[in-house]
Amino acid sequence: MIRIDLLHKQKIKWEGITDFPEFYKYLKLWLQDNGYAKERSLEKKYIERAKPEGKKQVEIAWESKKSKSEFFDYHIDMTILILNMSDIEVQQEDGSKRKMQKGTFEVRVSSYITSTEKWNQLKGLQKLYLDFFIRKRIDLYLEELYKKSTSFHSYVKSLLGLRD
Amino acid sequence: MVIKKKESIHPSNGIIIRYDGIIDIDALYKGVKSWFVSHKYDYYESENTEKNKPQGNTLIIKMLAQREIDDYVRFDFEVDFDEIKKVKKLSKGYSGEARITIRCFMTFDYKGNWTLLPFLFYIYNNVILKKKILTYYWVKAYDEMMELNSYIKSTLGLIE
Repeated sequence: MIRIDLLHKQKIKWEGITDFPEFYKYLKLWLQDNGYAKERSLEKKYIERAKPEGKKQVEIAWESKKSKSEFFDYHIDMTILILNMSDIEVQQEDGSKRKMQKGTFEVRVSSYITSTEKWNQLKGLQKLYLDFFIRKRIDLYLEELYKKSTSFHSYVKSLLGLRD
Repeated sequence: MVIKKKESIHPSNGIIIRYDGIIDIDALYKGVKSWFVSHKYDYYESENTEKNKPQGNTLIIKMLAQREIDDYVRFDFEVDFDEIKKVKKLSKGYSGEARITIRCFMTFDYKGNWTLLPFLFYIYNNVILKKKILTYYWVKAYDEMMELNSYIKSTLGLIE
């Protein structure tokens, strides 16, 4: 099986206040809109632990995949770790109050290309095919996934209000 | 001097720039990113952390950039905004303390074609290609590192 890593657990961390349900929703929508995730196949882990003083620790893992061709798939994986999360009310400019979450939000984004089962079955011809025909195409795939996954990375930062 | 798979161009601890005063972080951050893009580097960010604190925000940003010079040599840059502390928004820019580290490397055989032939890899690097490495690649990487250094310093308003 071929696996080529592109982004490797790139870390985005924000210690402060954010609207977590909105953050969660928009990330999911981005992956769905870009064809990487379906509603039921995205989330591999969601753990919420209650901590003293009403605080919570949340661990989430998402694995998303998009089929590129009969031989290769694109992957964008993400983990979210939230420490000391608590609800607070924030007064907005118009005077209304909005419930938001305070804590340490850590997101890690990975992206990679893998070969499909069909590719793995090629066996003897596999290397020949890779060397002569597929190599250039893999470079194009890598370029495309690089653009897509860095744009996802930027989107995560923008949702948390970080510089991009 | 034996040329290994990855050679540092920077001094042992990297080029360190310290600054305490008014910083336009947004311009600096965007400027360094654009510098990499304009020099045809693939840009990555291994870390982007911001902590909201009463005394001012703290930022940690670790940038990585890679450029394939040819099929055999790749330049790798690391720029760490180690910890920009006490970042407070002023009417113009931000005030804060910054420590920026620049590191530059040359990576040989980044495609791994010589992995199974370490002796030939050694001969190729240290005999056949040595002159070109020292007079062409090394100089090119060093120039780019110093250009980036000057760019960061000019953005911070330091003497170049």
